[in-house]
Amino acid sequence: MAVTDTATTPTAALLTPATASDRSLRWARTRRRLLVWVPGGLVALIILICFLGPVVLPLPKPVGGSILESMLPPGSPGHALGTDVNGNDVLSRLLHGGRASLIVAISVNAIGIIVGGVLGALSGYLGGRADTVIMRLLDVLIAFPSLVLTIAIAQVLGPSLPNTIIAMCAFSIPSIARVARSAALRVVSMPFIQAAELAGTSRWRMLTRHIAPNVAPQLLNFAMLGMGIVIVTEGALSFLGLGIPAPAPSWGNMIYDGQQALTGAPLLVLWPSLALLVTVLSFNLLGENLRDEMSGR
Amino acid sequence: MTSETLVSTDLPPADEAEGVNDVVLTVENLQVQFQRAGRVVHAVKGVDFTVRRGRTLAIIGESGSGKSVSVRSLMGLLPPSARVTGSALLGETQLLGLPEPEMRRLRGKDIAMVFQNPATSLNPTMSIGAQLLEAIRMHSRMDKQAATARALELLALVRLRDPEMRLAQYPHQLSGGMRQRVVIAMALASDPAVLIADEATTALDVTTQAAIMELLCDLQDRLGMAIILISHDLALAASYADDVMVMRHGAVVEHVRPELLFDDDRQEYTKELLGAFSTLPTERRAPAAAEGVEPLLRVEGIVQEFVTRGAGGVRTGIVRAVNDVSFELRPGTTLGIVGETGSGKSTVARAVIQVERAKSGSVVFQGQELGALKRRALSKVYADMQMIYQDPFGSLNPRWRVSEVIAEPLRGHTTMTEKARSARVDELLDLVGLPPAEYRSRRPQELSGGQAQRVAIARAVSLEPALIICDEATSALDVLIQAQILDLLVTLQRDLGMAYLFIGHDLNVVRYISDDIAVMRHGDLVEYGRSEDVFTNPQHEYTQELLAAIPTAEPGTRRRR
Repeated sequence: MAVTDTATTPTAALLTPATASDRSLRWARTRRRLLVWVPGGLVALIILICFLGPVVLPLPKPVGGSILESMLPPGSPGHALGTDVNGNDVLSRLLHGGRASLIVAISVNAIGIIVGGVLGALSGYLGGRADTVIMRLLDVLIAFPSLVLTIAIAQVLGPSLPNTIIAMCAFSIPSIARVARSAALRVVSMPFIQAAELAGTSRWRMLTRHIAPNVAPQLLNFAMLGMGIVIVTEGALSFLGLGIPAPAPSWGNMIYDGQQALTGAPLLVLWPSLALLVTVLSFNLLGENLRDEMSGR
Repeated sequence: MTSETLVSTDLPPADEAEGVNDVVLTVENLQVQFQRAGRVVHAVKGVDFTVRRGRTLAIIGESGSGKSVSVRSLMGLLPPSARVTGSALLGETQLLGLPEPEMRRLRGKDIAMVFQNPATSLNPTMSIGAQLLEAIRMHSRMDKQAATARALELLALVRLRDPEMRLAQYPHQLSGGMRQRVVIAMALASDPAVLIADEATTALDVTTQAAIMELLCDLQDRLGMAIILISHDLALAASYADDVMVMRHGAVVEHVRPELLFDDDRQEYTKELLGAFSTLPTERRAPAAAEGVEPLLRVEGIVQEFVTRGAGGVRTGIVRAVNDVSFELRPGTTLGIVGETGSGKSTVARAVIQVERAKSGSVVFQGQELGALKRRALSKVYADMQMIYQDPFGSLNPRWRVSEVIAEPLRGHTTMTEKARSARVDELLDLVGLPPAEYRSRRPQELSGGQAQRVAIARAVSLEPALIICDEATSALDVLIQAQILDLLVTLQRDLGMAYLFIGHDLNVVRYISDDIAVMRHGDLVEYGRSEDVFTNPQHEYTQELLAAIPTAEPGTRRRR
């Protein structure tokens, strides 16, 4: 075989130098791990602060402040982030409000994954009449504009935290069920399902051991993306007096309350908005990177 | 370089004979490295070759041998994680390290490529004419009329009938072979100096494959371009190429003229590739059940029809996929069903296991009519009737461990304890040649294709069924792995006495394993008989055609001159 003589070939190419590859490889591996752990850690941190913060820190109550103390600037003694129009401590409201928003967001999506996931997976696996009945019923829910439907349900049930959750499940369940169904259809068409059929595997095992584990990553990702939507929608409900009843705080109603004093005290909107931004971003990143990691991409 | 020591250097002394001016492309010490999942993979380890005007170089190898990567690196088609070194001169141009804009101008103009899958290399939403015109006008300024004339000329060149009609058609209206002709026409649009055919006939049926290869040779004669034929099929290469280069693990194992492939001093690997299916194991034949024994499976006059639907679910017609097919399978023997795409062979398999029940006809297994059985009763039958699928990975749940996969039928059909199952799994892994300690807790993505298929086989034989249906069970595997899996199936049959219904499109493979053969075409069973009779003395014209289309590994048999 000819040994390459670089002198005889015009631009014998030596494209990239062979150094630095080890370091870049290690970095690539670390980077992939960070992509899951950083947003995951942030989500954990946010949950921790919102749930433990009000217990551990010596904070004033989030409600029942004195009107005499309204609109104090950040850094005032006893009020690190100042007070709002009603004289309530902003930091305290932020943490308590975060607790309410997170409870709503996590419950709505958890219920959505469980109920919607089961309905969708059943629909995709059983097919035929069961599929038609389940999906048409859910289509009815989807056919309404989601906010209008939620408002209607909340109106009927009356404002309270559990009712807010129920109202919002009306759109989380059908949308997650749709995703679950299409994922299940994809799984069901794989030969290993037929092989399981030949192996005498029961329908229950088929659903729990074959279909569910292969559908779950996609649902998880979808639900994480839904977290932000739920938190914002809850805010809209609260704004209309249909969500978490005032004066109890949530990020959503803090934003809407602050909006009224936007020109005078823009910080009142900024804090909950920032909290919302960081939370939604963390959930979205976590969902996306978790899915990539689980599907082994 | 390691390749130096491995390669047998019987290169044809072509330089003196044919003059150096013929050389179109010279590749020297080509190396490609990838960074993948945290490690460096040396995909190509120093490859040299030259390609001459009007000549065909075949690069042969199994998947992962680096054959496609070498050629793609020349066209700048590798992902950014690839590091390419060496030299590749096309005329005066150094291809490696050529900036993308210049490479783009070159691609399709001087070097053109035909890919494996004609279904995905054409845009389904554009008409054939629009795609051809785009290819023509990309490299030369032509008005629409001239370009259309050129398109018609190209379609005539690749011998598509009714070129005017084809221009207005869409890819889905053409057959696989016709689509590949269109792809070739597009590749020829600007008279390339080098045409690369990357497994260009692999996705096609045997008879179509032969026709496309003839076409390529004929075009080469007329247009004088050089062809690089990339394939896993050594026999195909031997019959059409002027030079054969065998690659393995990124290095060149052999680089010879096809006439010399059968010489004794060839590398061991090349001999293995050539001999994969040439010897029939003689002692394998079980004491084949004597005539007159009650058949294990009797299929009588089954008919399967599918309703085709257009937009909005409107019935547009009925396709008869299987038309009155009957056959018998004796216990412990193998019936091979051969046919090309769309012949209905897999539909027959699905009708036998009752996942798609036949429209009419009967399937009698172990004296029991299956068509009338309900799900629960059928499930009992499956303890004696298992299946092995084409896609080894698709047939294993990606989230399960090997031990769980193999134990699944034991759990479903027996009352074995957890412990007994686990012992049986180890036994089965041993049986299919996978050391249990190493493999039982792996997941499918940690297996190679051949290993995954072994796991699927272990699952199928776990209950020692009377019948295993193998639906293209080796088609997705490399040649040598295919031979290993077939040998495993043969051994298992001898030891356990199962019957196989073996469905395949590769005549060599089906012949290797079958006692009886049924040949199907367009849903009809056109020939049915003892394997040897069918192969040595085919009665039906179509069977003769099929047999004639098999590349025979004899050099130059199909080449003109």
